[in-house]
Amino acid sequence: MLIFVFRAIIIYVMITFSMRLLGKRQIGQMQPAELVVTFLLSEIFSIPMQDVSIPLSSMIVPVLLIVSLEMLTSVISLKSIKFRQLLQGNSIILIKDGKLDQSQLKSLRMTTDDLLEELRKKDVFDISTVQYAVVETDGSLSVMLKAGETGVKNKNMDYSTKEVTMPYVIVSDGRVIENNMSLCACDRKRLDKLLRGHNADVSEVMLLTLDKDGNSFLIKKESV
Amino acid sequence: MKRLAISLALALLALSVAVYSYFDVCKSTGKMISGLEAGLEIIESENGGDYQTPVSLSVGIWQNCRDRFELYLYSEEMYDISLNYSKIEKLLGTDDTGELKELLYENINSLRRMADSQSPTFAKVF
Repeated sequence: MLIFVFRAIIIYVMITFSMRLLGKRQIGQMQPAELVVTFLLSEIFSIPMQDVSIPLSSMIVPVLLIVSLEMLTSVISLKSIKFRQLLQGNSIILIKDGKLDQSQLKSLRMTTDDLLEELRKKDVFDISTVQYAVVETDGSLSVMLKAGETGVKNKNMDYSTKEVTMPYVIVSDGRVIENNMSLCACDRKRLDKLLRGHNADVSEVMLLTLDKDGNSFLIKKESV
Repeated sequence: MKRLAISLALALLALSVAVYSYFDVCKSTGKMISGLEAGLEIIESENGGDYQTPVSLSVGIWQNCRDRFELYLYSEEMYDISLNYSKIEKLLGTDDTGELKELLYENINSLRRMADSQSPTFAKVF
């Protein structure tokens, strides 16, 4: 049984290491090849976990090779457009200028029901309101509505707005996040001043955020 | 550039482990087989020569390599060889050359099979 414990630890470390190297893409954003690689890796990891007669090297060597090949192809894809097209294909325009391209729909083996379903997922219930619909290389559908169907934006009304900056967490559960302090030009002195302004000590703070414009937001810990 | 270097380093690491294990198995089994064959030849010549020395040498090589081989070979592949070697070791102290001969034949074949199973021939790859 101890063998399983040690094997599980080694395999867990290998999984974490290889997933970290493969990157942060979510399942929905994966290219078909990447998805297959992920499933393939899970299979390779699971077999030596269950069967101790299989040496761990028979898992480690193929995993290292697959991860390395996946990284290599992603690097080449970044550098070469032709290689990227060969590997991932091109995105396909299904609706162009409000007109459905039926030949493309057939080539994708999609029915109109499939298309309407995908549009509904994008909160588009009327196909006549679509100016462009594009099937991306990862299989997802991107939609651009006709000019009259889009919501009014500030720029449409010549209304100028100030850009908002992202707030950073400065104190979380009573602990100061030093890395974030430098991101919003905050030093210890300023933090103390901020805390004094809210009449609180660091240990009493549940959450304190600060943006580059100096706007702060503080939640005190509830006394239990 | 960093990702490219990491990916190449990983590929190199995986390939070196695979190539090292292949050559290690081939070289070590080659030595073990020649020891067993030398012993067998002496037994078959029936002139009362020292067959124990080459066979003991082969047993020693196996004992040195066994733990290392477990890192990259399936346990089933090694089980019979390991069992035969322990029987051979016991028989070396006796004069029962009849059974020893059979075991030597058997182990030579098993070692050859094990070494062959590692070679990446066209038929095995596809």
